[in-house]
Amino acid sequence: MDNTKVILGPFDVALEEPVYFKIEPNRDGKTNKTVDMINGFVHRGIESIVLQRNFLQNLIITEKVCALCSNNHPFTYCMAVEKIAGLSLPERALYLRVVADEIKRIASHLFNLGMLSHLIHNKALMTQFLETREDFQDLKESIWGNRMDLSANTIGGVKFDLDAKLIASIKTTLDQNRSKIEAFIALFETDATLISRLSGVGVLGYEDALRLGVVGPVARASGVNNDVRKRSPYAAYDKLSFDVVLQKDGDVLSRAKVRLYEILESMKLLHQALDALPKGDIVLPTRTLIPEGEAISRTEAPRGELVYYLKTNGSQKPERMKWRVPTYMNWEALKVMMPNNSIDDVALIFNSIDPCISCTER
Amino acid sequence: MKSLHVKLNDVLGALKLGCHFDKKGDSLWCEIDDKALLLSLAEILQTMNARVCMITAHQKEDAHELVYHFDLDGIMINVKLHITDKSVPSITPLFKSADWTERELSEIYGIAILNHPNPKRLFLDEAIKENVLKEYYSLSSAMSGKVSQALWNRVKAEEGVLHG
Repeated sequence: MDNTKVILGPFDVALEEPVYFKIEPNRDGKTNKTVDMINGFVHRGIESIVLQRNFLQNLIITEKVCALCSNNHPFTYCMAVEKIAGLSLPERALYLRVVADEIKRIASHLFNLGMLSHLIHNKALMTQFLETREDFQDLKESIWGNRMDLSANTIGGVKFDLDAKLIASIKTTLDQNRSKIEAFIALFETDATLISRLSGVGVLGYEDALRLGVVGPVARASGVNNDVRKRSPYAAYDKLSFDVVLQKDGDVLSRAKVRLYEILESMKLLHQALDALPKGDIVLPTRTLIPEGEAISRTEAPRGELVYYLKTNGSQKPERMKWRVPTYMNWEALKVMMPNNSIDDVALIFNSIDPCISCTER
Repeated sequence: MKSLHVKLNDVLGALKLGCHFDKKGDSLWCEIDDKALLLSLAEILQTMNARVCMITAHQKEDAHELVYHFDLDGIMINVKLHITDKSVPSITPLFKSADWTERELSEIYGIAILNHPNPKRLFLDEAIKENVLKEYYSLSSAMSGKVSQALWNRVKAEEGVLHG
């Protein structure tokens, strides 16, 4: 076999977003020896654009950085602005931020699991995952009027409130779907076909996970706990109880299981947050001018740790604003996961880090 | 977290760095003017199993202010470094997690990263010059998004590539 390379992308039906893979096969011609990836096909220069907008306009820009983590961007951005302005938020707003984020997390994880099923050609399972997700999409539509970009956050609080009827509808959706999630978990824990297809594929060991600084479900599937909700709690997470889901094997199956179990934890968090929802304002009554200062903030997005840095100079536009999304850290791990796996599994392994390229490249 | 605060204060005191925790106690801010000191601090943080979350750059006239954001068990350590010569030593040999964010500093701010093990462009095509934060490029050139004959010709020109 000569050293012929196989290319995948940059635009390919197996990929949700554009990436250009250059795969060098082993001598057998069936497995990967090395995989090189070239990025930059959705680089829009947003970090420069945000410097030309004021703090309120940037709420809208940050929400549009990414679709699946769309809530976390304005959420984390607001936290940085609020730190600089020294604002302390009404308790109710902190709980409502948790509600918005956990509903988004459930929908995001279900989407990734649906894509996994699609890539292993299990169309029936894919349909089930996406139908389950549909309930959460409907829920988002009924609360926020939108199915993807919620526009839930604003500087000093949130833009939405929940009445008894909406709280009841969230709880009904959770109760109706809990058994479905448990059935998915049982399938991933016991179904021999599924397990043999996914286990041992795209392995990232504990040591490599630490060395590369991976985050989110990718880290937790390799046994590394850096869940920001626990390690550096924000909003109301320090008042709510939940478990961090860890697995040991670090393969595609483990990453799928982390996401499945995390849906149950999100449901637990939602029930607690709704039961303990404090009374009071949802947003600070007056708008504040943002003083000179700098701050760093971070949250646990569905894909892992999202970090925002903001520097202000007393004008009403940022002097510098930078953020780093989870996929940015998880990307290099693909170079550990891919070698010696089947060339056919490149897209499956790629999907298992739940990549979000448009927010990675900004 | 308290014992970690004490430990960090010891380490930073030994390096004679002026640092302060923010109000909530989960982020620490330090300032450094010496690149060698940055490397010494990075070496210590590496032995403590820290990871690099991000590096921010900010240009002020001819000088740059870099902020290295390290995570250590839930505490964000923000180390500010002022440089005037547009170059810094790479910390990627110590922290693999710094690989991408250092390469981004090069392409957006034109800062030379010395001793980086993989100094390739990160996102922007080599046809676009470095230090582009404030410059306008059309979306299709910034995204390498022209799926035209020109791009295809470049792909074909690469040696040993099999076209499916």
